Amino acid sequence: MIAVKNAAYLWRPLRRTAKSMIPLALAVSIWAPAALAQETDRVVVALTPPGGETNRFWAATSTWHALGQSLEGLVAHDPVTGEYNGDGLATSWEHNDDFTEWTFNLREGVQFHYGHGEFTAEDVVHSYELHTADASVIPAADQLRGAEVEILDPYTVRFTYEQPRTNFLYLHGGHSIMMIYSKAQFDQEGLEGYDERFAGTGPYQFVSREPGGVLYERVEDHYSGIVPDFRELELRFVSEPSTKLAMLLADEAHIADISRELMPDALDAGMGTVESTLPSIQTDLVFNGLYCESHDDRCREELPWYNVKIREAINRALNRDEMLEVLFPSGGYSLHARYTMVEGNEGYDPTLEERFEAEYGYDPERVKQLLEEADYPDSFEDPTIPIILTPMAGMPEVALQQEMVYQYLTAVGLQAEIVELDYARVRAMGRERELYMINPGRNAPPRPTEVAFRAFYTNPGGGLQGWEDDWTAAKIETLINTIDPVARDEIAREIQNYLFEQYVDIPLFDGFTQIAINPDYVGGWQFPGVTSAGYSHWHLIEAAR
Amino acid sequence: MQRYLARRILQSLITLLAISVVVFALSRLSGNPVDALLPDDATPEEAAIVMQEWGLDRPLHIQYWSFLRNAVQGNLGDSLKWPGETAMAMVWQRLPATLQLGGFAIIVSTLIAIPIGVLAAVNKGKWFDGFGKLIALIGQAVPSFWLAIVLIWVFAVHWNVFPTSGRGGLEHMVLPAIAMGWYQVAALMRLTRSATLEVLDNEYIKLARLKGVPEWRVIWVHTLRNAAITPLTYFGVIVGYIFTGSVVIETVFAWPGTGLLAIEAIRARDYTVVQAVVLTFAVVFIVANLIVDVLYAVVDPRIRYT
Repeated sequence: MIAVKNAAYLWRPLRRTAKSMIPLALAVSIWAPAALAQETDRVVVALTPPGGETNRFWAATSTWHALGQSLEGLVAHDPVTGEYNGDGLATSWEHNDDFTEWTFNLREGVQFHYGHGEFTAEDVVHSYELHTADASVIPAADQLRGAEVEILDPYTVRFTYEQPRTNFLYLHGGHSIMMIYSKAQFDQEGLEGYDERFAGTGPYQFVSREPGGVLYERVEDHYSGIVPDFRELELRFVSEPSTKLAMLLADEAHIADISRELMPDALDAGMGTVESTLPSIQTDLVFNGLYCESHDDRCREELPWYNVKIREAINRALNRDEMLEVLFPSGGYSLHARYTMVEGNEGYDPTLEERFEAEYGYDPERVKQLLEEADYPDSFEDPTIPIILTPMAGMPEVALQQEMVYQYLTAVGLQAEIVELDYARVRAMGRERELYMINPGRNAPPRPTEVAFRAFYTNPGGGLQGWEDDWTAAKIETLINTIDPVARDEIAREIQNYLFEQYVDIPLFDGFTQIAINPDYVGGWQFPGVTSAGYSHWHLIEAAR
Repeated sequence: MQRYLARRILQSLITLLAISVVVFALSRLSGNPVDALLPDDATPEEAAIVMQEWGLDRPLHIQYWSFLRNAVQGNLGDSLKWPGETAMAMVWQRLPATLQLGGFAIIVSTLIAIPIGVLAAVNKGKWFDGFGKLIALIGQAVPSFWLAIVLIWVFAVHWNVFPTSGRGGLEHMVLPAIAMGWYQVAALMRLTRSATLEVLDNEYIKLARLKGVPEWRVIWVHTLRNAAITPLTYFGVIVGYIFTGSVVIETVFAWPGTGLLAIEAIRARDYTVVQAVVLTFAVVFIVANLIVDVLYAVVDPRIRYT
């Protein structure tokens, strides 16, 4: 091989290419930041992808935060207190004595976006049909189904059920909600019209959907009289948490739902946070597999946690204060005494909060005593306590939480075991009533008491809660069929106390929805935390002054 | 050549059939989409209704037969996660983004790898050769998702030169293309280097130099053309890597292509879209390899197919 003494000429073609790239590189470096400066009246929100990227609210779960900017339910809720109010499409409502008939008085003069006409009772009936069809997957669809929906006049509509619906407003203004679509648009364009550009009634109207994002623009003459600060609202769906943080820090997004573990990094970099005014999530651990109504052959009395002493021991083995410090170093969480128990809800009993430390508090000595009394592990065929470790959307702390629980249990002599399962599998096992393990659970947002009781302590509930016995089933049935508010409150309190004393699950923490903001662009955002995503009232995002 | 092509196409169809069985079976083994797509508090009765609505209550062999019969007509079913969309519509909607990014990554990889590989061979044992080896070592050792995050933090957050994520103009493609292509740069560069070294030892190269052919022409024309066959073989593999690599890179950069679509569909257990994406990847991989085989004959006249 001939040695190449001077290889400079070999570079010549590369130099030419490099020279031609310089103007391009300069153009790129100038162009990228300039593009953002032109969009000061567009607020960009980086969000976790919704359950389905669709305009059909009823056909996917967890789409509230992607469609709730434009679509509205019948019942609005207050941005601070979360209470239902008549500021939305229904101005008032009444029910008959036994709560089987609900009549809504509709706001007159509300226009659907893009000239699809005035909102009337026909749109309510049409939307009810969409949300109760077989393909509907909205939460608590079974609660909504079964009504006879009657148009009394163009601005009055009545729902009639055979059984009482004491929490019916929840289906029109809460987590499980029926959104109002335009019948006129459907008649004219079909479902494809919704897919292309649906007409809602909210303060923002839908403009377009691209893969990975949705664009809304404000309605200048909205019936509420509210004009959002930002002319445009762009949602970008990003699944990687660090990318969302990067977008926020690089000024590409002005709001981002970054995970709690990255929140300290955002704060260190000068970002701010806004928080829901009310707790939006409750976390618990659930003694699953206690399918023990007397007729149920799936009840396994040999499970260690069938024994109430073991349930109490497990509860008392956990140092919740320490867990709180480790799991939520940036705050925002507090202990709670009873899954489903929310101040202001039916059956709320403040004495349970007072009793909590004495009856559930960390006490290793008491644990040892309880285990001796239960003759654990000797009297159990299989004394293993399987703890499910599963990723849960929006709850990055679950893995560490479960590992801590494992450590606490083994430290006091309980034979714990970590079982890794994906969340969908946990759901499937729960629905098949084969979940004989301790699983993480969440109540998000906290439901009305009766709705929560139905979901968590009845058969069939949702599958992720395992406590069932004759007493609880009978009492919940009584509650469902009781319409007197005082009596209902008393029954609900009685149930809460019973569940508390039976240690039916492992109460952990109440949390608020936190979202990071860039304070250079966003001044604040008031929302109560009562929707499934936690966020709502998008029109109240304030521009930085 | 025609007979060869016909044989390859037939083999490709059999391969696709086998892939369809595998992907159909694996997606079913991963669990039921109802468990991923229904809310926590959906009752077993509601789950059963939705299963029936989606046709998932039928026996597996009937589901497969139905899938196959529709697939040959280009219909891979309706998406479960994206209501109102067919699985193929989702793929067609996202494919241009992946082709755009993948194509750009291949071009950038090639433009970087081939010259470095050639120059490393020409400068064998010198500092540039060591530099080339370092590039290759880093490219093959560093995980693409880590590289992607580092690139975002350095170039988008700290220096604000490129956007962090999303699809847009050329500036949006630079970081994901580097993250996607670096591994290929390393592999391609090493192949080019070894092939160039081999060609440089041939008599016709020495003859060209003795005849006074300019050195740049000896290297970039005579040597490179003959050395190109080995790297060319690798292009079929690159296309495969680029598509499978897009799953990670598109997720980190929120690039709305088929890779991100695959991840979203897998998370939701949207069988139909997962099947459509995998079959599309398979078709692209097969076609790319077929094209490479045909190109052999173009680059090297000694190769003839019968």
